[in-house]
Amino acid sequence: MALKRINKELQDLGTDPPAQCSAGPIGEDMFHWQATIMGPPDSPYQGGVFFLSIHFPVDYPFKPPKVSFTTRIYHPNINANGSICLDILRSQWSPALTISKVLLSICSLLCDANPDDPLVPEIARIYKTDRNKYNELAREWTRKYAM
Amino acid sequence: MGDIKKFKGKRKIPGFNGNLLFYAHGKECLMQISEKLSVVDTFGCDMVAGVCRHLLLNNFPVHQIQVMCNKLERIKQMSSRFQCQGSKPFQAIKLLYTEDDNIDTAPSRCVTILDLVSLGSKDEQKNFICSISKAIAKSRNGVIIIASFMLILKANDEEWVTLINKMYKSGYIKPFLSVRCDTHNKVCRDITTAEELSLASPRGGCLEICRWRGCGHECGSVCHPVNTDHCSNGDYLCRETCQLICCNGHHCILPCYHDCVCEWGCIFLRNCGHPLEDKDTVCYQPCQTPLKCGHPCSKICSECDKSHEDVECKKRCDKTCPRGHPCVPHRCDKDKGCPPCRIVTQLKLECRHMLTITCSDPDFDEENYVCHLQCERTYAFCGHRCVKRCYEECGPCETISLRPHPKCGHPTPSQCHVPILDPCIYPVQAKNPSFCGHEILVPCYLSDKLSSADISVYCRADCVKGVTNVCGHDCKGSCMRCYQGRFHIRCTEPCEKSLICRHFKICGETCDREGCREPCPKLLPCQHPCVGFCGETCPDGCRICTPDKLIDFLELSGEETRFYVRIPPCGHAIEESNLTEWLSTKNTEIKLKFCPICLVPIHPTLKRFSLQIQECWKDVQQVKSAIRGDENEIKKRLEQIEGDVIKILESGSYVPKFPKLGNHILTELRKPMKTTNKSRVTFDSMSLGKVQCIEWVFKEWKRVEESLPLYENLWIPEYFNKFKAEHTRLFDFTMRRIWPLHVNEVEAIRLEFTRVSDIQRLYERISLEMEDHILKLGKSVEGQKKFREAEAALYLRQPYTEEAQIEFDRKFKVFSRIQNYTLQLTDRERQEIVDAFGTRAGRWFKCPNGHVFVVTECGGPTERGLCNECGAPIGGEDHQLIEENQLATEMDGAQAPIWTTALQR
Repeated sequence: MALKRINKELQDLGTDPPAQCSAGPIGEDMFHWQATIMGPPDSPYQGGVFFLSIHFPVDYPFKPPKVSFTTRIYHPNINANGSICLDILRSQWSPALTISKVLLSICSLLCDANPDDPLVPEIARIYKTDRNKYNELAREWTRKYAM
Repeated sequence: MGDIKKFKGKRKIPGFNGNLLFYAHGKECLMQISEKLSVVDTFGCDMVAGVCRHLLLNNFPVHQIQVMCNKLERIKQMSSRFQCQGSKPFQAIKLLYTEDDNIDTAPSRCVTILDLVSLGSKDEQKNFICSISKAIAKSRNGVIIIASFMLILKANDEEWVTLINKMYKSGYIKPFLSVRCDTHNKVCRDITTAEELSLASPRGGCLEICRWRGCGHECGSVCHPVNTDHCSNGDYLCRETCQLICCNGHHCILPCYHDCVCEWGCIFLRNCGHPLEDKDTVCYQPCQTPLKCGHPCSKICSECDKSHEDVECKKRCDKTCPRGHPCVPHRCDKDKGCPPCRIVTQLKLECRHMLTITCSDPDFDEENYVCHLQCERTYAFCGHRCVKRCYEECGPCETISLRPHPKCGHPTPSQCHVPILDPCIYPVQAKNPSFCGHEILVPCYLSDKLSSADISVYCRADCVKGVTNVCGHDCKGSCMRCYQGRFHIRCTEPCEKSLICRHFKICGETCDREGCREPCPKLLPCQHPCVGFCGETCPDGCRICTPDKLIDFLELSGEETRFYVRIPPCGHAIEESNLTEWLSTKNTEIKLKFCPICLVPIHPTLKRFSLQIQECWKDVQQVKSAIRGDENEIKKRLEQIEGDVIKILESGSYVPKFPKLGNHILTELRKPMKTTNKSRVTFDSMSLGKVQCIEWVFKEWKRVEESLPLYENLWIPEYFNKFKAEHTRLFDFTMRRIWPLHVNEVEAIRLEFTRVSDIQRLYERISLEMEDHILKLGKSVEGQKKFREAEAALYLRQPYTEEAQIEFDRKFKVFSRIQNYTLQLTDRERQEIVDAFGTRAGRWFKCPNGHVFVVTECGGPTERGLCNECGAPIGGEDHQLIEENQLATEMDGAQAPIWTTALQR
């Protein structure tokens, strides 16, 4: 059941790929994908290439896919394990969403962090109090891990 | 071996004495002498023909006779003999050759005549046995065997000897045929030849004369078993001359067997007097003799014994009852009497009333009947009709009519000719205006006695429109019942909120009905079949025309015929298995299920998935109960209230009305323990907040009621009565409600309690407890004015809302400031100051905070300034004081300013 939907999504990604993003299965297992996100141009992540791993649950699309960064990133909503704090990946998930939309949401999360609901409070504090320092650190991490 | 016992117990062959007859004749010797069989041996043929004739004479049906023979030549001989016989019946006799291989063993005819002939062959005796067995097998009633005695004499075959012995011992083999007369039941004679047979029984019977006298003449023929009734066969008809005489005495001229004919054309009569139609039959005419009841006898003449004692008349009864009604349809002499008449009829009584009765009602006694109908008498002097019953004495006129009341002239219902003593209750406009502002009609005698507050009790006007309670319905109460809109009655409108399941489950029970899986039979406007399920709202979208509208997350839409469900309220059409999966997915947080497309919460009216949707509601419910409060805490508080109430009740009723309230609360508190009526809110299901409300209502009552006796002495009677009336009214309204109070009512009563306590606050300011000067200030013109303003704010006939409370508080503060003002001077100092400024009073004013200042010269201010004490603006222009300043009457006792228009600002 889920396989057909995943295939359809892969096909759609080929015909209409989202900007700055790409995704596809790693091997034979269609339920395990890898995705890349290019750091958005007007963000401190510019120039970086971030890898993400996507695990589809068996009852996809009724359960959200498990998406996490494999590349380290300095962001108030993404922790050291790569876990992403994004509502559409948990409570606000809807079967109408697709991997393409999820990746675009993550892209916009990179541009506009949500410091009021942080996963890493320390980064959120710096984001709110000293934006320059945050930008600096983010750029540094991008250089270090994503280039 | 033939079963010679087969016919045992059966009826004998007609005209013969037995079922199985073996006639052994002695004609075989002749046959041996003669070479030509056909010429010599006619004996067997003659014998067979004679036996056949005898059987026919005995009325034996020809098609039940068969003749068998073991020699083909004999069969042919017999056949030509039967043909020559000339009479047709003989040709119908069946001839069988016993050696014929086609013969079956099933019985074909009743009687078989077997002619056994010696064949001259070696094993002819075996053939005899075989022939006899076949003859027995083929007949039902009997067999007559005609054989030569030689066959028996020459017997040497073992089986044949056995059979002959057996038959001989049983008495079947005889050297003659025993002929029998069935009519006279006797053996006529034993015959040996056909001639002997025709002599012994010329007509089939014996030789006795018949002597039948059925018609009156005697039959002269010898005994004949056929035509014993002498009418159907020409042979035996009575040809004697008829002896009958017709009605006119003429003799019949025809033979006896013929119907009588008179040559003069007269009718022949029977003895009974009925015409003779058929001489041989009895009379079938109806008897017609009149019975006791007067109807003719309906029996047939010959069956009637003419005494008519036991004859039942079958005619319909044509009697009538004493009132002339025809009798109900029934047989004339059934039960020897008519049933009572059940016709409903109108009876004119002596009193000239018509009475409807059942004609022969056993309970009705016309002589002693008491008429209960309305009396129809009219009184001459007033023209009224008597209101009593027919049997009653009329007496004076008792009609209630409208007559003008002697005091006010209003039409008053009263008994004719009885003076009107009761006060007039005709509704009239009240003298005082009502609080609520409605036009209220009150009983005439109370019109000038009621206060504005009391009048409002009579108000029948509808409650204010557009009141939206929690439920959203307009209030259907009246002005009076809703306490001028302050305390709305409970809403009794149907809820109209749709049940989730719409079928036989009590609201709140989980519906376990599964959704129908049949496709919707309707057609879309595009004439394609609907994509939804039977019984559900048709989804918007078509598989062919608008497949984009049909949402399928699994991308399986092309695989098979799939059905879609329309989600309320957004209307998206989602594939059913998709939706099932989506709604069955457990939520990680407490929230309602939502449409996957637009994220709008799915309305519970989606019956198909009500179970899943309700699951979420249940989660929400749990959160609610967590917010509502701890159950044990609620229980504890309720018990505490109960304890308090009991304590007060036991301590004696120091407040007159308290026991009533106390008992009321107690009953209501204890109710849920007794009944489990699910339709109403019980104390058990109350939230902590509600319990607190009850607690608070109870304490508020207690407080006010306890202080009432105290106020009675200290307060000005007018205000005390007002306060008490307000309090009592609120009490009554509260008591009339169903407890526990609805959330609307709780809010209303809370506001009203605030009002009562505010009234109390205001009136306390002018009670005798207050110091003299405060009271004095309160009674000053200014004080009175501010007091009235504050009071008016309290008695607004609308809910005592937050805004109203603030408004009152403001006015109350203004009033209390007037009262609280103290000059902080001794009387002597004050007098000296006043004296220093002049003789005439009315120059002294005060700032908003009560600090006194004086305006010299004319006494009218011409400039503004600031108070030395507090800096508030004082003074004014054009001899007019600014609004915030007031006349300081406490200074010089002036009632008006010296500059008369100084306060007209």
